[in-house]
Amino acid sequence: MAADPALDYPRPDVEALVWDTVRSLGGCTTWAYSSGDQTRAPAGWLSIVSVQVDVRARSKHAAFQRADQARRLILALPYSAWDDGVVADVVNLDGPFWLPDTDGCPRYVARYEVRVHPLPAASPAEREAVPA
Amino acid sequence: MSATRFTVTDPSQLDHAVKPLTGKVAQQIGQGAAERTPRRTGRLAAGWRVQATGAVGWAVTNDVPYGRFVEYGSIHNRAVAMLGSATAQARRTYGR
Repeated sequence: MAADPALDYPRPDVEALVWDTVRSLGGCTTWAYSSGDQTRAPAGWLSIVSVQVDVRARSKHAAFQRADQARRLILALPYSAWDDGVVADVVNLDGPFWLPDTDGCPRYVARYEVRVHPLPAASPAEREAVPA
Repeated sequence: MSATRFTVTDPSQLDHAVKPLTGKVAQQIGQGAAERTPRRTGRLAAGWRVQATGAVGWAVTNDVPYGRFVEYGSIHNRAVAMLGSATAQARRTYGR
């Protein structure tokens, strides 16, 4: 069955957005551990992606400061422009909390839920209107 | 136009009404976490507990010491996000 053309949106890459947001801090690892659509909305209307952000540094204090910088940048996403869609909101689900690696290296861990609305795909007429 | 006044005689009734639903969601999260738990000895998968906390709250916990390194990963192993994935699914289903 063909999808409703009104809901034929390309799914925005939230994982890449979060990574691009914090990569310049250094010492960060981000990955999505859950992803899907809100079940009470039409499919594709509101994507919900849960992301874990691990932040490492040479000392506990440096890791904390870096993790807090990452937290502020990620929570500010709804207020910044994004070419792939609109970040509706970001929820800080967990952390940043102290969870050193199994070898004792300093690490802070945090989890965020990012809700995004995709931009509608360009119509054929709009695509033709774009100059080559 | 007449006004209608309501008198709340038992404020805890609201909590009592909500408690079964929140309990159901907590049980689903606990079961989902257990189903996502990797099994070698079965100790971690058997360690999930769902307990009532306060009037409407519930807690899904696991006291197995290495559970945090399975849930959140480490420099040496990938995270599994047993509880995180189960909670995320519930949040998508029921809202927040």
